[in-house]
Amino acid sequence: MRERKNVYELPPGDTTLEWYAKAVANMKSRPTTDPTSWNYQGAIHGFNAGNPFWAGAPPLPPESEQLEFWKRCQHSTWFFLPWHRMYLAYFEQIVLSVVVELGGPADWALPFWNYSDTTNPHALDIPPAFTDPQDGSNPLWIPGRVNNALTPYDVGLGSLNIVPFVGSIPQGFGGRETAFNHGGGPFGGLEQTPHNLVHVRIGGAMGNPQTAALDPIFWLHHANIDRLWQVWINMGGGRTNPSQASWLNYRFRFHDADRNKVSMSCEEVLDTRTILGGYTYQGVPAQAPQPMLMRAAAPAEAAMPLEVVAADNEVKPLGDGVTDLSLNLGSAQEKQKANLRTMARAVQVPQSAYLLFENITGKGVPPVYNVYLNLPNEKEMDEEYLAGSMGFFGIEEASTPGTHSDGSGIQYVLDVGPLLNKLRSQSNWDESKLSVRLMATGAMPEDASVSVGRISLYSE
Amino acid sequence: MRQQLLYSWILVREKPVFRSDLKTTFQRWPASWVWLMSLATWVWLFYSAFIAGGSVQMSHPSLVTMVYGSTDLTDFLIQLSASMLPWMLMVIAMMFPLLNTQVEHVAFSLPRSERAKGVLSFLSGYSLTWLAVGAGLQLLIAVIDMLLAGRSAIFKASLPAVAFLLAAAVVWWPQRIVWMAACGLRMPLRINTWKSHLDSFNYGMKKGFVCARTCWIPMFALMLAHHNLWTMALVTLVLIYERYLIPHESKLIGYAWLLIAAFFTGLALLSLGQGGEQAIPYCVPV
Repeated sequence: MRERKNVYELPPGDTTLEWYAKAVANMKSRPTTDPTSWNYQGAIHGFNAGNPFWAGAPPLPPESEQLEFWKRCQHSTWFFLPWHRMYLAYFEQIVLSVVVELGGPADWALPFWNYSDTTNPHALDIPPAFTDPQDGSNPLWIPGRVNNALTPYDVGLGSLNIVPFVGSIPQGFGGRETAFNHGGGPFGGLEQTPHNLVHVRIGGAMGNPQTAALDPIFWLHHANIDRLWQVWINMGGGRTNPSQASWLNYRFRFHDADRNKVSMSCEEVLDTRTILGGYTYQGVPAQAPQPMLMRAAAPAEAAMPLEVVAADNEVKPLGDGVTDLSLNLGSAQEKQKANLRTMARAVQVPQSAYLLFENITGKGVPPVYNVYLNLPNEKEMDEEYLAGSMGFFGIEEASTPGTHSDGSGIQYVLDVGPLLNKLRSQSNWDESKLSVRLMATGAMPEDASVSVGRISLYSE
Repeated sequence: MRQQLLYSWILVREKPVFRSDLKTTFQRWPASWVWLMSLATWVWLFYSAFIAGGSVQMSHPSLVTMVYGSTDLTDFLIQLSASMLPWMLMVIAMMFPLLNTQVEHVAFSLPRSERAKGVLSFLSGYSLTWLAVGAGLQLLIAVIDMLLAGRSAIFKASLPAVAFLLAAAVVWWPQRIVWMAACGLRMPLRINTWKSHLDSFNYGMKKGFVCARTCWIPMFALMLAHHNLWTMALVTLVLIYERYLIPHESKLIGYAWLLIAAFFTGLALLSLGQGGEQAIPYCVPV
């Protein structure tokens, strides 16, 4: 059984990254028409012939083959986790076969990047093996990354506290129930943070699903996301994978290391020890999925849905700096206002509240935005009032009507319950108004833009 | 008997548990009501066909017949409305179950007190678009009637097959994938009373357009087949399967249309041996 190891805990003299680099170089030398080539593997996640990162890709496979195997990544859906697990498994099989071909170890496994490890002072940095260009000869380096280090807000693990796998408002851990969904709509908890924020913070190829898998760090990032799925399951307390046949039996197509067309179902990836020879994660015990009958059959939707309390429908283009708006809570129905008053009086009782950003459309890779509520001093971005961060991963594709998108854009859900409860206990709390500030954490690239169609507050 | 049933229904309806369950069901799964509306339509259609002594097919009076046969404008409008009824029943029965995502979007975008009205506004807008499409297709049938006047009955009998063949061909047209992807369209809605209804209505009309763009050909084929119930049921199952269970770029639906086209071709050929237009079960009525 192979073990995927923490890239920051590889023992001295370990050759995992060395062989990874050799395999990447070898795969990059293969033509794009070869399913085991670097470009082909990248295009399975996303592809855009007009994007500069794909400039050297042609000649391409026939259209029919592209339609069947390219641009298949699953986002904003309950297939996000299982699809990426399959994708990584076949990619790892291909890399392993190249490593063995080149004379490397037969037990090579993809390492993971645990950026949330607070005991490691370097955890937030992209591992050095990936950041030194070595005059452009380092296969693990790619030009265009905007940041080589993440921030602690990007890698928060609050999503592990979400118990239901499925849901949108409130969020499920794994995403909402959909059919095949390449992008667009609300994200699952883990997908939103840290997944999206890591992608967008690093930027460049990583910031866009159409190019993300061309960056070698992508695979270590997703190995970590895959590991966190196992961590979540191991936490127990009602955390279970979906038991619906529409999830378990859904199959996705890939190529294996021998270039054969293969397919895999979600049910086949529930136990990592049985996937293509099996693997485990360093420090994370693997366990068999619970029997079907033992699974809790109560997804998030089974609870009474939250109610919209206030909404702002003016389309807000977000710029480089600050965008302010206020939600008029006074327009809420009397009953809702009464609820809010109850919440104000009983701040010690946790109440759910979510800020929903809908129809977020745009292009390019906009920077990460921080969202603050009721900032007392408009000039200071006090972290105490930070509701969360938004990384618009996949915004361009989700905003453009095409083969995989209706053009409605993406959605972001921020759990603002704890912050609102805290704000309500303050003397200056205004029951009729909630001010929202969106602050760009970086410069807006020239070829990027972003706007929000509706911002609304949902409460119990 | 009828009164007794009605009384029992009122008693059941008034039970607090039942009332609260209905309300809760709608609050949790707003799309369940749309499915119920569809189911009720199916029940009525089958009841009319098999129990109330009707037919498994519903015929449209031809526009040509309507224009020349009507005594005045009112009469024409009454006839036109009557001719659109089977079409709208077909839309409710077949298209409403495909609206899960949109109905949930409307319901959860609005305050609880506005949800039911918002969903109704959405469905009204959606149905209005389909009504317009239906009227357009009636006109198309009138044109086809005129073009085929005096020709052999086999031409008319094979029209459903031709329409399903066309529907199958469109499945392989690259633009259809884009149209299918557009089925998930979402719009931001205002939450204040009449504005929320206006937005929901507007959203319904747009969604109706998106749906009609993708599905008008098989629906037209069914119109030509006199809304044959068994074919309608089969097409509905295929559409639901495509909408919810397979990737939108799948070509499976194309093969399904080809099979149905083959079935109608067989029927048309069979009708040749029986002679006379009356023997042809699926021709356009003139």
